[in-house]
Amino acid sequence: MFINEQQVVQLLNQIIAANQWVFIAALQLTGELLWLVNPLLFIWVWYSGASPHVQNTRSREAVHANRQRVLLAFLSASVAFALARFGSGLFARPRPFVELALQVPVSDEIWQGIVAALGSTGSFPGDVAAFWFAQAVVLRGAGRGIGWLTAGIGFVFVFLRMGLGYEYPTDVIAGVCLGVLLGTAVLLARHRLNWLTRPVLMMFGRFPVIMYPLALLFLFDITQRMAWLFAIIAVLLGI
Amino acid sequence: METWFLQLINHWIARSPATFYQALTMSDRMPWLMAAIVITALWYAGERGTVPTAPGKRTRLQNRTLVILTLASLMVGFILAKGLQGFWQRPRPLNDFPLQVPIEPSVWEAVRQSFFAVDSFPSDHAVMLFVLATGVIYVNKRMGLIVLVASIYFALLRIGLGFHWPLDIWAGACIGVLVMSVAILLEPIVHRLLFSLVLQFEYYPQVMYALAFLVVFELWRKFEDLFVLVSRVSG
Repeated sequence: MFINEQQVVQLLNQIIAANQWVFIAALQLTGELLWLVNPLLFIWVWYSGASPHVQNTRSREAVHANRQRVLLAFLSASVAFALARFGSGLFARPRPFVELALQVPVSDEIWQGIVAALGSTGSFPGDVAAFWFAQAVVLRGAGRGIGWLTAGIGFVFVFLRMGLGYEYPTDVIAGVCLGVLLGTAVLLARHRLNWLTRPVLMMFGRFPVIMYPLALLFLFDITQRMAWLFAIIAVLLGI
Repeated sequence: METWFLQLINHWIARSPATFYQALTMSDRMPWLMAAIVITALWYAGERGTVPTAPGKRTRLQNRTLVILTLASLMVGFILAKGLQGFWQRPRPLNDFPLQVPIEPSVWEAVRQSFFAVDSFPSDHAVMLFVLATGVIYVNKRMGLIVLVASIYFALLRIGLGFHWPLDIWAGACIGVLVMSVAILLEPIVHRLLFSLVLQFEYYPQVMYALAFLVVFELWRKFEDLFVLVSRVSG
C-alpha cells in the first residue's frame, strides 16, 4: 500500500494532537528548546576528555581533537542551515499547515503566532534537519555515542516538526541529505581546515578572557537561530 | 529636581527617532548581555595556579569564587528589587509624565502597555548593573571601571526613556552596591562552600559548564524562565 507524504504528516499530526499536553510539549521542544539543546551538546563535547587527575600529552590531544570537532561541527551546521534557508527561499514550498487540514489542540492565538512566524518561509529543504545532521556527522568521532545521540535528538525534532505540520517528509529527507553531505565534506577536509581551527584553538588557550565570552555570544546566537551571525554576514555582503 | 533631570536625559535621547530606537533596543537586553559577557570574562581572568605570583594579583580560582558570589548576589538583588517594586507601587514616568517620543505611536503604546503592570521603585536593572560593577571592581579595577561607566550609561538610558525616575535608579544602585558589599564581607564565611563548587568544574567540567551555560543564559533572559517555573510550581 502506498502512503503519500500528506498522509504521513496527517498521521504524525494525529499522534501528537491526540493529547493537548503532548502537542504543547512538541511546540515547546521544537521552539526554543531545540536551539538550547545544541549549545549544551557543544559544551559537553568541548569539555569531554579533560581530566583533573591526568594531564599528559595524550589527554591534551584528546581534548584538542574534541574541540576541533566542535568548531567544525559549528561550521558545518551553520553552512548547512544557511544553505537550507537559501534553498527554502528559492523553492518557496508552502508548509503543510498552510495546505493541509491539521488538528491543532491549542488556542488560536498561539497557533496564529506560529503560522505568522513560519508561514512566510518555505519548507524545502528542512533547515533544522540540515543543521542537526551536519553536526551529527562531525561529532560522531568525539565520543562514544555522541554522534548517535545528536542524530537521535535530530530525529525526534524532525518527527515532531512533521507532526506539527512544519515540514513534509521529503523536506526532512532533503535536509538530512544536505546536512550529512556537508558534515561529511567538512570531516573529510578537516586536515585542510587546520589553518582555521588551530589558530582559533590556540587563541582559546592564550586569550581565554576574550575568546570564551566570544564563544558565549556564538552559543547565544545559536539559541536565536543564528540571527545575529546572518545579520552580520548580510551587512558585510551588503545584502 | 527629579523631573528636571528626567527631562534633560529624555531630550538628549529623543533628539532623533534613530537615537530613540537605539536607546530602546540597548536598554532592554543589552545590560543583561553585558552581565553575561563580563561574568564569563571574569571566570577566565587571573593567574593559573593556586597562589598569586605577586601581591595584588589574583588567581583564577580566587576570581571564580567571586564570580559565583556575584551571580548569587545578582539573583538575590534582582528578586529583592522585584519584591520591593510590588511593595511601593510607584507608577513609571512613561505612564505618568509628558515625554518627548519621536517614534511611531503604536510602537510606543506597546512599550507602555508592557510596563503597566510593573512598578518603578527601585530599578531592577540598576540593582543588577551595580551588583555587577561592584563585584568586578573588587576583582579587577580597570575592567570594573569600564563596567561602571557602561552601567551608568544604561541607567541613564532607562531614565531618558521614561522607564524609571532618577530616584528609582539611585535606590537600585544603592541596593546593588549594598548587596554585593555584604556578599564580599560574607565571603570568608562561605569561602569553603564556594571553593568546593569551583572545584566541581575541574572534576565534572561537562556537567558543570553545561549548567553554568544555562545560568548565564537565564541571566541574559532576565531570569524569565526561572520566574515562569517558580510561578507555575507555586500555582
